Amino acid sequence: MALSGLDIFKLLPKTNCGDCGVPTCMAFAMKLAQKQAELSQCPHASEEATATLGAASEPPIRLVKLGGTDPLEIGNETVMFRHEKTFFNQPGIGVELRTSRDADHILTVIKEIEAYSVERVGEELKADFFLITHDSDKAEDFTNTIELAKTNSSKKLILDCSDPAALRAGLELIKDVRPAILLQNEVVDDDIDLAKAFSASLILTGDSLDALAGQAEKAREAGANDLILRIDTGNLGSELQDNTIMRRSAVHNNYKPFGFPLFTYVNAEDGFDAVARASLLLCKYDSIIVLPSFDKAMLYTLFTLRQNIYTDPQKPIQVDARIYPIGEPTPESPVFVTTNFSLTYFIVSGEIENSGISAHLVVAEAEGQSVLTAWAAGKFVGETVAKFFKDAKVEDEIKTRKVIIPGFVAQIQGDLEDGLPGWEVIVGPQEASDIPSFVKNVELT
Amino acid sequence: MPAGTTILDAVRKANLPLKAACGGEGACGTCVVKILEGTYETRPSAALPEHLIKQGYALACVTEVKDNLSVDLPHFEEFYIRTVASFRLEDVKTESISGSCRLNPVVRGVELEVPLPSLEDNYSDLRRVKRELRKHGEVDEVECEYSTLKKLAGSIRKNNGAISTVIFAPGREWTIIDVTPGGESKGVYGVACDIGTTTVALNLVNLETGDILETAIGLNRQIKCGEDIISRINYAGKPGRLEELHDLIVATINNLIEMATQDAGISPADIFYASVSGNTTMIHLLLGLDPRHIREEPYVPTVNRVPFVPGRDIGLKINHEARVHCAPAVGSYVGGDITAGLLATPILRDSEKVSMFIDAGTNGELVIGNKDWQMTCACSAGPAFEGGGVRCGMPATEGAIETVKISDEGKVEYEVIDGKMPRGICGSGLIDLLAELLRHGYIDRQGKFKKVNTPERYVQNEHGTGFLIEEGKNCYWGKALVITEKDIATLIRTKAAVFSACSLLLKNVGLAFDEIDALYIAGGFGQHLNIENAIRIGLLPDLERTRFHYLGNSSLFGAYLILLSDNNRKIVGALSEKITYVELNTDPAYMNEYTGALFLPHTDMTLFPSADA
Amino acid sequence: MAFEIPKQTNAGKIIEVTIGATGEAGGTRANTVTIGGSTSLPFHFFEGDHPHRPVVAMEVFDKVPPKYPDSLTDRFRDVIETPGDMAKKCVEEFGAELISVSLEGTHPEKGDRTAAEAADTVRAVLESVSVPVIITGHSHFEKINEVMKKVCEAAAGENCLINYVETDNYKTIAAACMAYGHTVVAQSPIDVNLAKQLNILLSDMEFPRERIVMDPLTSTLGYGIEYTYSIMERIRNDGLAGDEMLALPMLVNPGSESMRVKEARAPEKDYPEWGAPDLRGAYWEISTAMSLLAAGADLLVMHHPEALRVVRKSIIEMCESKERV
Repeated sequence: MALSGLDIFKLLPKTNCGDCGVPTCMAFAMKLAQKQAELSQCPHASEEATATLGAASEPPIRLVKLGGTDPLEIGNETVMFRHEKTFFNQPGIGVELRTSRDADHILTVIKEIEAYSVERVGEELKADFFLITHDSDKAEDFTNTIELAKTNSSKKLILDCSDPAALRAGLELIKDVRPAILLQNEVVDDDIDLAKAFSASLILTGDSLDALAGQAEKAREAGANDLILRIDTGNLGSELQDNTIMRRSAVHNNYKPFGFPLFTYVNAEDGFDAVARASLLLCKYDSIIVLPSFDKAMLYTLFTLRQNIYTDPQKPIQVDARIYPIGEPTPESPVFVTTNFSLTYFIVSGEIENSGISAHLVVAEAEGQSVLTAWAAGKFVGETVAKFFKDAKVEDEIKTRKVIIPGFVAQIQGDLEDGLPGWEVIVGPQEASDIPSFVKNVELT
Repeated sequence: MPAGTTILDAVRKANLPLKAACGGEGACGTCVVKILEGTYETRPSAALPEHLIKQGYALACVTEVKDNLSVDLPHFEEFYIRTVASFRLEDVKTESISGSCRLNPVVRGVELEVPLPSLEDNYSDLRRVKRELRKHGEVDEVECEYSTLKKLAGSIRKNNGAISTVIFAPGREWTIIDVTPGGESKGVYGVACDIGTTTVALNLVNLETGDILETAIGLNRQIKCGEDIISRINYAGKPGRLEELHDLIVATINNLIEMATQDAGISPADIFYASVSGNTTMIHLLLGLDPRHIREEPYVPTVNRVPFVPGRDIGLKINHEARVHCAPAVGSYVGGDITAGLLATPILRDSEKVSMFIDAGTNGELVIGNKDWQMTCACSAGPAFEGGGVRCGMPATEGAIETVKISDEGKVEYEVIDGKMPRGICGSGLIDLLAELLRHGYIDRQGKFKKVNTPERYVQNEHGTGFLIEEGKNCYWGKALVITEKDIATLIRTKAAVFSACSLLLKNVGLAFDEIDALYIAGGFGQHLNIENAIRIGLLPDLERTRFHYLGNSSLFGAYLILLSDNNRKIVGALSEKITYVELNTDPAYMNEYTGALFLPHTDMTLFPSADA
Repeated sequence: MAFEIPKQTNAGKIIEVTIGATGEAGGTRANTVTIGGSTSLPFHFFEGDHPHRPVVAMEVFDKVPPKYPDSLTDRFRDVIETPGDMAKKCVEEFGAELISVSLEGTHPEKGDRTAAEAADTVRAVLESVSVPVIITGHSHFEKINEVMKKVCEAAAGENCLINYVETDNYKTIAAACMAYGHTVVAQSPIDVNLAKQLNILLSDMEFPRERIVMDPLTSTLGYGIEYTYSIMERIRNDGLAGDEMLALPMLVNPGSESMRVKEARAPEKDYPEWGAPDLRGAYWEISTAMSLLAAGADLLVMHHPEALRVVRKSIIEMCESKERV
């Protein structure tokens, strides 16, 4: 359970010695409560403090890594809802390869997926892994596919193979890359030994929560701690509820058998269905999402959702600072300026659009802060806005020489006019919702 | 002033504050003044109707001075309050403050009998004075100011070795800063001064008795350079403007000192010590330090604990050798007004109870804690409760409506500070007004007019719909007192900033409102604050009324306590380094708390169980 | 230790809101739609009741939106200009459970159609389909107030869902809803407090709570969906925890919001890595809808027939899991 700053303060020496690098014990306690510091930074912490805080700081869901270099990290989550803090580790999204398909086909798919990459908001998005499902009756198809994947891609590997000899042979090929083994049947000692021998994670499958809890307990007792859990009921609603129950048991009740990341194989009748299922389960706690086939539009959709849901809600999101066209502006269209806090941008652009006019919206660099906050911190003032106009070469693109500033920063009008010779600075409304009536009553260009 | 100058220009040249929102075009009507005597020439304009001109009102921007004109400035006139009954040291109660109330000032008068020199006792004058001084306390070193040295020989010899000295004794090293022949001293005085962003208040104190002789309150003349701290810092950024701001605050203080000393019948030269408290920006501007880094990340001021400074170096017109002490700041946004203010509460006496201190000034600050720990934060509240930013608002001075009641019949009843014609409404009156408008259903819970029961109370003017408080014919300025939706929105934003900061600071520590044993409220609301109404509008939390204590200007009282006792100076010094500052601006939860508080009394009604009753 | 399911019992229950009126109730609908009534988080049958499943609506237009994607125009080519016919197709071919009539064309900048024309459009839709109807306006206060007054009157007794009122413009439309027996959408800009404030203001004017559906304002995938998502989760959590002013069903617009974005429209040659545009448009809408469903959406206004189909199928499937627990 999380401790408050005051709870932690009571455990500290209260000497304000500053040896931890923070001026007061209270400030240090607050940092500890927010997990921005560690108790070990305090050289005078009592044993009681160490014991109490240590128990409180262990993440309820284990961090599991897939892959050797640059591993995929999943788990380590601490909350049920992203607004409580954040979701930390983005789920892996990957594609299934079936060993029954011919090698040429498999190779084509591997190469296609390996080459696939899409950029969104400055992030390079790629598929994370292959699930290699051994559904052929020839063991060498399995090892061959692993070989193909290993040679032609950098993706992490999850292996699903009911033939123990083939599985072992396959693992021998990929010794140092921490794969995961998907078990379709109840875990047995051999599985655990194999996982340990190859530093592989084990994906346990159960058709009920009780069964899955039992397997996880067994594996933990045998010393296998890199576990991933899979509940397989075939119904999306059950999966949602089971995932929720497992996450809640771990996060709220510290129930260890369910303190692991979750896995789903998207079993869908078509692409639309697959997107629906994957989207829901991505929001509700799955950390490994396997898609049955490669579909660019599907990956792009899910990558975007993953990026959105796993954004830290406590950090203001920025949009790129640049000139945004609203509607179809010409060089003579009106010019608005605001900050690059994304919500500010969305609201202002929406209201300009709503007013029915076309305009240029200059979104100035203000470290993602809202207008008033940025102004107060000196990041959205005449000088900085004028500089941004020059850096963004506004005058090259736009012939208008009037700019509308947010009403809350009317004070920067003079400085901005000084900084932008030839421009007239118009004070716009304080609230974006007044933009539509404002544009009707004021000469904007 | 040459004939033909406009009143506005004349006022500006005298460095007096007068707003002219339209920039002197005769269009806005904000610069209306009342002519008291003299000849002038004015012209009618849309903003000031003919009949008011006949009654002696004029727009300063379009009125030319002809001869010896005397005018009364509105709103932001230079105002001055004298305390009705002077305040005596014995009125300070130990249990209600966190410091000492034993008189022990760092600057004090010491009467000495210095043996005249002889061939046997042929030590120098200074050495003999030092020898005598050592009998008056524990002291290692004694220094003497040059200006004092020049008077020393004459003073000793004039009345047979009897002299009055003034010493500055911050520790075991003393400095003699003045000397007069025995029996000729006119006393040793000090001033305590709170420099607020909007108002400046000052106590003139007899350092030999600890009693307050006079209290003077005036408007901070920097107001014309911007109403809030950020605007001032912004203003200071241009060449020459830092000096201007410095000069304006010094002029404000000097003017108050002059008025107070005149009334008390003493000379400013007998003031040897000034104890100043103010927010970090105000202190920087007083000292002429560039405040720009206060505003910019990582928000670091030049100084938190200012060393003693000679008053003359700042430009204060008090004794040449007088020392100035500035109450120490915690950081950029929690200043010496707060450390001084805490001293004026009993919060630091107790390690069990948890108290909250709210200073709802232009920039609001909060402290929660007790003897063992203190957490503080700042919020940008705006000047509404000090009378700024609201068209009918004014500081709590002569002519301000300080209480408001609306009867069931829709009659507005009010009390004015001097009982005469109202000029505006101060913070306490605005809180009452808002609460009454809500209680009677004139406004809905987002502060918008409902215009239902008594449509005759609503008026339309150039600022939109307004609620009529008093008709122009009954008001000092001849203009009706009206509160508009915009004004109400400003008040709601202000109260929301204060309340959400309280609530967020508590959440940061992990406490709930009802775990707060006592709340101490400071600010420029006025003489009285109707706690019930402040809760009704959601400015203060809905707790048992007995937990609330309204302090008025705690920063000034704290500065006075520092003036009284050097122990108190040491207490605030240590305190300033112990308080933990929390930055709310960057807390992502702040916006949520704030929008929740932008409602009357609050979006979360469970926080205000008694408001529905 | 034996595993015990951690159940969360909630003090609150989401208000049940019924849209549409049958003959007995003074309207002409063949059926009504009721949403709300949940006592636990979405689809948490293991710890609460969900008497009504979320429903899907489709949107028709008084004036075809300029950004309406080609892939959808192709599907509706023969009926798109005739809202009544398009509504019929949505219900009969694609399975829409309600029809939303967009009156965007009455916006002075976007067609400036008259209130009387809007009323005719609504009447035509009411005549051609028998499912409950949502009437969707815009943010031009003066005009929409005039239009909604007229439309509310024209649809008197039908208990349409009048979409929407907001904090700065609620009194006129809410009064018209009360006068003519309609339900209202209370829209607020992605903020728990503002959502609650609007509901309080409506309650203060004695608007019945069981006639309010909240719209927390939909941001689509890639354009701030996480804000909408988290605000909805917070609203639903607070509502279930007993905050009556937040215990209301929620409406979202995955259709109109997804349709606008570049990702749903841009040709493949411009963005080869984004995949086929027709799929992409539907995927975008599905992903938006499914996430918001997980966050608490009770009524989803869709545009893409495939999206509507698969979202509806998923809802029904998830509700079958009731039997399992």
